[in-house]
Amino acid sequence: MSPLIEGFGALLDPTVALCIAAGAVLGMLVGAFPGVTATMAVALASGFTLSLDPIPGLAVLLTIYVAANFGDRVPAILINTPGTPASIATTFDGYAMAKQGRAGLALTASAFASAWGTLVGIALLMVAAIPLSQLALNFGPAEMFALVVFGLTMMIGVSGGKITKGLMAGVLGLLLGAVGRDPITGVARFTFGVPELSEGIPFIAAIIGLFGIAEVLDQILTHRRSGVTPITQFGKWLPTRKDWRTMLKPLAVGSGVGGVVGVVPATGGDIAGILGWDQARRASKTPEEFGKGSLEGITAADTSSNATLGGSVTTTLALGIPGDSVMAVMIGSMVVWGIQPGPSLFANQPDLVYSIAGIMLIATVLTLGISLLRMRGVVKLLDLPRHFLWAVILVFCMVGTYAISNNIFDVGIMLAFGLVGLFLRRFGIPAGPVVLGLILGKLAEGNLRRSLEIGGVSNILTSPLAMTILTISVLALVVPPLRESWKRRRARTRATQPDTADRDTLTP
Amino acid sequence: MSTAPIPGTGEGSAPEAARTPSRLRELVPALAGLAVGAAALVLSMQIPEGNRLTQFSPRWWPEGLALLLMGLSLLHAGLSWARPRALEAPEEATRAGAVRLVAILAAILGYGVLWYFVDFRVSTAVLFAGLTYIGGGRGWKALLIFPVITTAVLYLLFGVLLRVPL
Amino acid sequence: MPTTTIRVTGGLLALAAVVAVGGCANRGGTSEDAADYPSKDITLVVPYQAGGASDLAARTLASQMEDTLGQSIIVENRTGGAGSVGLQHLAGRPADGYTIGYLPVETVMLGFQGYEVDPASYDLIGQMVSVPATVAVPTDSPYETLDDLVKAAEENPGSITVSNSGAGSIWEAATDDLGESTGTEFQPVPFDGGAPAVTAAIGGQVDAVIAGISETSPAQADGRLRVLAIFDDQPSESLPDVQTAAEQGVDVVIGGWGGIGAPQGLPEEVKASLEEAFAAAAGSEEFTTIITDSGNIPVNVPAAEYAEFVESETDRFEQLLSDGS
Repeated sequence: MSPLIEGFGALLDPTVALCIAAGAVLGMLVGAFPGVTATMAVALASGFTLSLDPIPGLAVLLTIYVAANFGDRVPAILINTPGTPASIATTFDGYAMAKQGRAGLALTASAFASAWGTLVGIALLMVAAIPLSQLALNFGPAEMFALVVFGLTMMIGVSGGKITKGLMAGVLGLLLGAVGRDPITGVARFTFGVPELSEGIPFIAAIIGLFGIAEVLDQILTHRRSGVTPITQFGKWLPTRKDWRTMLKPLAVGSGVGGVVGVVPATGGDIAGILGWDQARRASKTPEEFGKGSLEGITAADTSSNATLGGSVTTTLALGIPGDSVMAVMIGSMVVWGIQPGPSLFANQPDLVYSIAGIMLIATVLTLGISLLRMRGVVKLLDLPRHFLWAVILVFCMVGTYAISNNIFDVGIMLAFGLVGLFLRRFGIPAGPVVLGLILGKLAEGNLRRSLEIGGVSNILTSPLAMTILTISVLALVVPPLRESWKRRRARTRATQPDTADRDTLTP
Repeated sequence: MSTAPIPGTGEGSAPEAARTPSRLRELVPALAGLAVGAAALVLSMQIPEGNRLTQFSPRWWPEGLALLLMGLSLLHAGLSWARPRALEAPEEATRAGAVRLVAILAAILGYGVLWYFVDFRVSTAVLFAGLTYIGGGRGWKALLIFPVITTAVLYLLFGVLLRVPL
Repeated sequence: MPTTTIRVTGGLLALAAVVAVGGCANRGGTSEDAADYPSKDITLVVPYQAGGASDLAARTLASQMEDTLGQSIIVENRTGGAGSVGLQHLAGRPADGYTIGYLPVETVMLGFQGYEVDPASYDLIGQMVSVPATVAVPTDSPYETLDDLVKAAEENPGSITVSNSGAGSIWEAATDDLGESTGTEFQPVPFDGGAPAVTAAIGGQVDAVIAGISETSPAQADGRLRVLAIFDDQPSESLPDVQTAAEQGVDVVIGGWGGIGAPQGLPEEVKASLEEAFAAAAGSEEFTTIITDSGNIPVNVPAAEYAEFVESETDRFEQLLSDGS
């Protein structure tokens, strides 16, 4: 017990409080800014924090990390632009809710869900860090490939009922993901000799274009002077008792999905958000609402993407392997401070682990508070006349994207994807599968080929974990249509018994 | 977005709301998919093998995807031709809107050129003023104060705080 | 429109006044008199992301060089294209000493991998960090020495899988080099970054990993990996019990490194003052401590020697990377 007290006690220093406060403000700001990611903010801040002691330094960096994962939800909900990739799935329902005049509820529900997800992740870190991190070691290329295949089954879910168009969009995304140097042999593919493309299509630029810029361009194209601006009211702010009850299941589903995804190395909040959203959809009594402003949808997405935070910190601390890109940067700082992440950290400096958990805990509570207080001011932005809003979104997205790698090329990609997104939108093609393809394409091909290089096809066939996941993926594809047709047949011959009990039991 | 389907579209006659019958309109994405797929296929067949022979050629993944995309496009064309469905048609574009869109894209391109020659602070303020003007903003507040303030915010955040080379 | 134009022009004047406080423009600039160099801020281009090991080395060195030069050094991360984007950007800047850059080992590799990067386009200032390659196996591996590993590969060439941080990386090249020097063949398995490659070895998915010393030594310290050899000309303090490959009869010295360079054609005086500032910074206690703590090896190689080294590295990679088939 004493390391716990010691660890938390180390946070009583007023400097730490100051550092957490600074980190929270900075983190929310960069999170809310499309293009500026938590990774970038942490990397830049680590330049300054190296001169601090480890605990205050970690307080700044970890709080930025936590707070950015709250701030990024705001533009996702209000202007359909994910502040960071972790909030891609937030746009699915958040923006739809905002357009229905429920922005207030969307923002608070998102903040609560994000906070809950973060807390679950921290709890995992404190209770089960070592066993969980051992689980992560079992994820080699074969297992990762299986997991990605499971992710690809979500294509159907994010298609929003337009299956063929959704799949076309998904395959387009996978193809776009193949742009760049081949992961195994290093030969250039679809790069046209452009060095900027050799690491693939810049992902953040692409999602800002597909979601945010496409939305603005669409408004520019269709806006009528007489038309009402969609978001003029924010509706109620706090969830009612009934809303809370609706949110319970997605909170649970999201926590589970996010916890697992967070522990797997090199996967983060972007995948977890989409995965959590899709699993909650499968488990929901009203799956048809998902993507059209479902409170369940936004809750699941945000819970899941934030539950990865604890998992990432866990793999980072317990294995010395960065759980995501932010953690990769943070390991650099920790090593310079003389903290060597790895199993021995838990044996030698258990108090430090608790300090880290404590910092994240305080940061979560503080950020939730700021989120709830400050929202009313932020949403006022949307009262701006359209021409101001368009100009602000366009230019801020351009400058934010430029800052990713200080290269105009990324801005060009963002605008090009804005036009692609506009085309998709005009022809009713969902953009979600494109993004999913972009995220998963490289992982799918890379891990498949890696495992083939290691041991041929048998490398996959002999891994029980991989085969289990692959079986679940097949079931996830096959079972819902079968169940649907079974239900339809039963409805046709419906005579006596009502069917309600068996709707949500078949969640993989 | 999620308005109720228009009655009677099953027969391909949608008199209300001037929505295009879905048959022809749905051919556009199918054709686009075919074109992208074909282009990708041609390009992937030209990918060189690496120095080292691997179990799985660097061509196979993109080739497979290109074929899949073409197949799905044909499937989509076939399905939507056989069973035209009511479109969840997006809001209709306006002529003024199209002009505005082209003007805004031109302004952004112009900005790209201007930025190369003129300091970020000046070119961005000009761009803000231009975009606002195209969007319908008029008067000194919209075309003067607004660009100056937003540019100053951007410059402070990125140029001064984040030290981005603007 | 004309009224608007006037308004806009007026706005620009107002704007100029507002942002003048923000500092002077840091773009462009004609060549100043070399005699009073440096008379303004210097930009240091790092071709990789902020937060990585290269960025840390560059930033730490920059803050030390500021002391000697008396001007601020602004670190600019220009990423992409495996580092080629930043390196090309650097090569295209005026050779006035106000833009310098971090040159990684990739400077001599990329040219043979289809990128437009040529080490001859830079004036070299000095080398400050060295990251020798190491080969490590899981702790429960049957291979106890480098010799065991090589023997296993000889028995069945291509059966020993060795993970590395990516296709075309220095660690993949090191794997090929090891194979060639021992007359056998290893099966390289490129991952997406150094950490996943090391993880694959810890998890036992591959037989061995070749990675930089800063990535394997912590894993060896808490017993998750066994480092078999270090490919350097001398043993390292961070791996006290590990012999060099040469000590085990395999003559391979390879690894990553980082130095400072500038666009080719610097004026003599400018180059001299940069070299002087570099030597002081790379030798400073703060720099050596931070680099040592990060697990790499600080060095202080002067310009002439560095230039020779770069030349020999260029020859080496020309051979290694072009006859891989």
